Amino acid sequence: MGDYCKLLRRQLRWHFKSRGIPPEIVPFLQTVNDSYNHYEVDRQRIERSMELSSEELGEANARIRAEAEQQKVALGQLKKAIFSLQEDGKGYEHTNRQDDILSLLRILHDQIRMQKEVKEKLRQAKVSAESASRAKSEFLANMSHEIRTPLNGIIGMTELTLELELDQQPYHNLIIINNSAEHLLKIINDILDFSKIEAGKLDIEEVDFNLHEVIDKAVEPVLLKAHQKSIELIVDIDADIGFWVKGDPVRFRQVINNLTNNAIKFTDHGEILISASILDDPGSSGTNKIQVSVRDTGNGIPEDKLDRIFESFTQADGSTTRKYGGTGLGLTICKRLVELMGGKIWVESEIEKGSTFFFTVSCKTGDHVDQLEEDQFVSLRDRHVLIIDDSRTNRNILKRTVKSWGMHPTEAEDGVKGFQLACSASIPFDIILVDFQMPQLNGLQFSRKLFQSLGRETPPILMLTSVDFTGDGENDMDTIISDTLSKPVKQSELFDAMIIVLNKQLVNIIEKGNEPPVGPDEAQMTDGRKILLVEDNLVNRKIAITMLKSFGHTTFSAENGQLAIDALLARDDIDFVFMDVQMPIKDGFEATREIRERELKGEQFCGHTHIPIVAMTAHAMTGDKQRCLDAGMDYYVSKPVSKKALQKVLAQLEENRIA
Amino acid sequence: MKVEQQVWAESIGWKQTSEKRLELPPQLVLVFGSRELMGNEDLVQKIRADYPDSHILMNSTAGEICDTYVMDNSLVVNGIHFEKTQLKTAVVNISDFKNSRLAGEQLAKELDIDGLAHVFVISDGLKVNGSELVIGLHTHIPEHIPVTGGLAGDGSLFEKTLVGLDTLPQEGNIVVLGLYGDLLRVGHGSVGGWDAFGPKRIITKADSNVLYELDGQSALGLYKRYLGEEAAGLPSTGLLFPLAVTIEGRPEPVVRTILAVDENKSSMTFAGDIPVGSKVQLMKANFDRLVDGAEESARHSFQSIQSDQPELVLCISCVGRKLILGQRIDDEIEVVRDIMGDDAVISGFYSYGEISPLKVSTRCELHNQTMTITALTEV
Repeated sequence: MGDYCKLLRRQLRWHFKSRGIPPEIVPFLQTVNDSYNHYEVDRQRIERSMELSSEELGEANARIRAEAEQQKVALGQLKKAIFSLQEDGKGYEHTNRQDDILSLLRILHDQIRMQKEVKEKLRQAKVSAESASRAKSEFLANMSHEIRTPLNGIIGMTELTLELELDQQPYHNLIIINNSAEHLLKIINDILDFSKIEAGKLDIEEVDFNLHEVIDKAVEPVLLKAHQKSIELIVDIDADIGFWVKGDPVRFRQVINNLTNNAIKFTDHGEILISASILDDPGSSGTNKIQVSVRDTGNGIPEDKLDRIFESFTQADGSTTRKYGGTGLGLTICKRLVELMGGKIWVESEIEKGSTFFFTVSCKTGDHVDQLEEDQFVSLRDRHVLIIDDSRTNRNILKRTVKSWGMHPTEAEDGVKGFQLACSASIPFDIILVDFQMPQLNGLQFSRKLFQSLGRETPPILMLTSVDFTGDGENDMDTIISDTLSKPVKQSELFDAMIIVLNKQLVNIIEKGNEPPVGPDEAQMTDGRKILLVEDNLVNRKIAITMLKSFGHTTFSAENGQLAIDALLARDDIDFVFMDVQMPIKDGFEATREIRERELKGEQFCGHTHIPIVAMTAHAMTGDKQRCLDAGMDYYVSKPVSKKALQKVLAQLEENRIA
Repeated sequence: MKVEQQVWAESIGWKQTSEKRLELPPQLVLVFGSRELMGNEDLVQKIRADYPDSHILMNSTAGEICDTYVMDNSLVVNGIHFEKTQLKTAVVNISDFKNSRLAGEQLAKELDIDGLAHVFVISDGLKVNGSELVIGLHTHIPEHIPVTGGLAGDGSLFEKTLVGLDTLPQEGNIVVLGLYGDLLRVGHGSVGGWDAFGPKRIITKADSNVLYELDGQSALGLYKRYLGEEAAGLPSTGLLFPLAVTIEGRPEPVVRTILAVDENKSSMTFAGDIPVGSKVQLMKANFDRLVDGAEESARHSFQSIQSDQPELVLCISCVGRKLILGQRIDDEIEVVRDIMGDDAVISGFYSYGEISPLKVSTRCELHNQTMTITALTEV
């Protein structure tokens, strides 16, 4: 009985009491006991399993609870995010109370749908805005062209009228008209450029050009203004910059010109420094990054306006437009042009101290264009040419051709008009191209008539003819016609002929300097004095020449002090010298000192024991005048030279000459 | 059809256990025995001598069923004479195939489908993936033709199993018997009696029928935790907690039982596929639930045979059940006898996997931990 399990033992005791267990049921009891034990093992296994399982489920439950908590937090945040999408957060409070993910999803779906709608609307708006903008730009481009045509008429006619003898009042009015028209033209050009850029119609060229020359040319047109405001313009090109690069010289020049113009506009005194340097080596790519800066000593730009000045129709100060004029497009155009040229533009500025505009341009290293041709090209550049031909087509062709060489053409449709233009031009023509066969005055008759009027001032004349031209029996052909070209004229022939003629003219000036030609009007001419103008700047030179000429004087020019001394030694007919102060090689002070020293030693210049020298200086400070006088100069004219001041000093010279 | 049955055991020698003896030679002899006795040439020679013209199908087991007794280290020999049914056999070895599915396909190809009434299959129990085998079989055998059978066993050793048709049994063999004729009636049932419990887990790492991780945790570790002290008895004690595997896309979970463990790889090998992503739950059973399961299986089988008098009842029951039922293993056979009546010859074996449709006219599948009953008669 001791082997049986507890329960069975108890049951046996209870059942049999003290009677004892009958031996025949012992095998049966064994089976029952086995079953009991089996059940027990089974039970224990199941209990352990249940316990473990319960533990596991508890762990899982805790995990799920934690996850649910996290999800609840995330859901809350998600809700906030979704409701923040709604414009006014409406519905948030309402839905916040119930954690209804489905309603949240509905809101999210609504949001997505709305966003899609908004996106579509925006897209459509963008498309229509772009097309409107394109239409606007095209319209502007067209309009600008349309406006330019009559404007050219206004400017042209105003200029022609200005050549006539006018009373003071109409003359004054016409000057205002001319200035206004020029201003309008500038604005329209800006708008045209801007429109082209906006419409994506502006293409940047890639040609080989001379960087130094383009910068010089860009600065040249503003020299006059700088001169008038007594501002020193300094160009400083880094020696490391190669001369030749590939790019768009016209646009490059436009940007520099614009920045320089602005600098002058906003600077009342001081200087403007235009610097160009190379930022990094071209390396294997062969691309140069060139940085150009234009620094002025002007008003400066307030810091809060710096960002906006490159935006369209914006100036640093709204009142700027009233005070200084302009469309406010200049810098925007510069910005776009610079970007089109693969660079960027920016500005640094300090109030009252000035501004510096910087821009960079990426240029490949260029090929050297034939130097000889370039020299010739330069000599044609900026020359004024009169084209007289009764055929509009021929005029247009010639105009285009000479423009491509940088010349400034003026056209006339017959000999009579040509004659008028040639006689009345404010800036004398450097050369005249005239057709032979024309109604009324033919080319030869025109030339003869002009020569009779202008004498030795007659510009060289190139005759273009389609017939075998042998003249008309008179023997004055060689005197009045410089050369004859037969039509159709090839560009290269015209180019060569003009170069030869113009160079002959230069040679003539030097050669004939000793012997002024005697002509019918010579008597009148001798009233004028012979003046040596020493000035390194072409524009200044032209201005002075024009003014002196208007007083009836003949002018010879030298580009620096050394050349001036050479000229004085080579000639013997110079009456007065007008001398710039700042010049390369030998400046005005040095040259004057040398002349005076040599005179002291008994040397004579053009028969003078003391040749009168007039100083021309942009140095406006009072001490400057003394410096000039100390150097041995006799008179002093400050730049910008006004006609009045010039007249005054000429009168003084004349007085002292007599004395 | 007529069946005669005899048994051999060391203690009793040869003994006839069926009431009748066959008057005509049987077409088929089914021999279930322990692995050791399968290799006993004397005994095998004796059987061959008794049935010189019959197909003799032999396989090793984890326990032999003879009438209502469950025995170990015995041979149970069933001679079957079909009066109205034709028999066709096929055998392949898994080592000749790339995988179990292809082996199944080949076997099915060797059977004529025309007139096929039932397929009985006995396979190596350790080298063959039972799930793949039945998929292979069904590539050529239509789903309405029932396939039943099981995987050979090796006691509780899980070392090697042997199967043979008309030769000495060998490892890796798979044998199919095709039964043809209109007058054969076959009933089948397969019920486990296990209950899933505890958390549902996801198989996160597995390869074919080798399981590594559940919910990212070691599966072997989980088993050891649940087995407690009994973990020392792995792999056989693993049978105490089979897995209910719900494979994606199948409505009913299948039961999978452990065949082997690898401590180094911390892996467990199961008798059928356990695809990654399937949901699994541990299962438990107690004595009464298993016996009830056997009874239910017998009832299904009896109902589906459409005859009052089954001649032969083949019980293929899982080795795992034997582990739980222990000494009272006979109980689950006795309930079969109660259902099937006194005249039926009952035989069968404890297996490493059972093959049967879960319900009538559904495709057959590999099961574990069930009592699978195939009842046959001719009308």
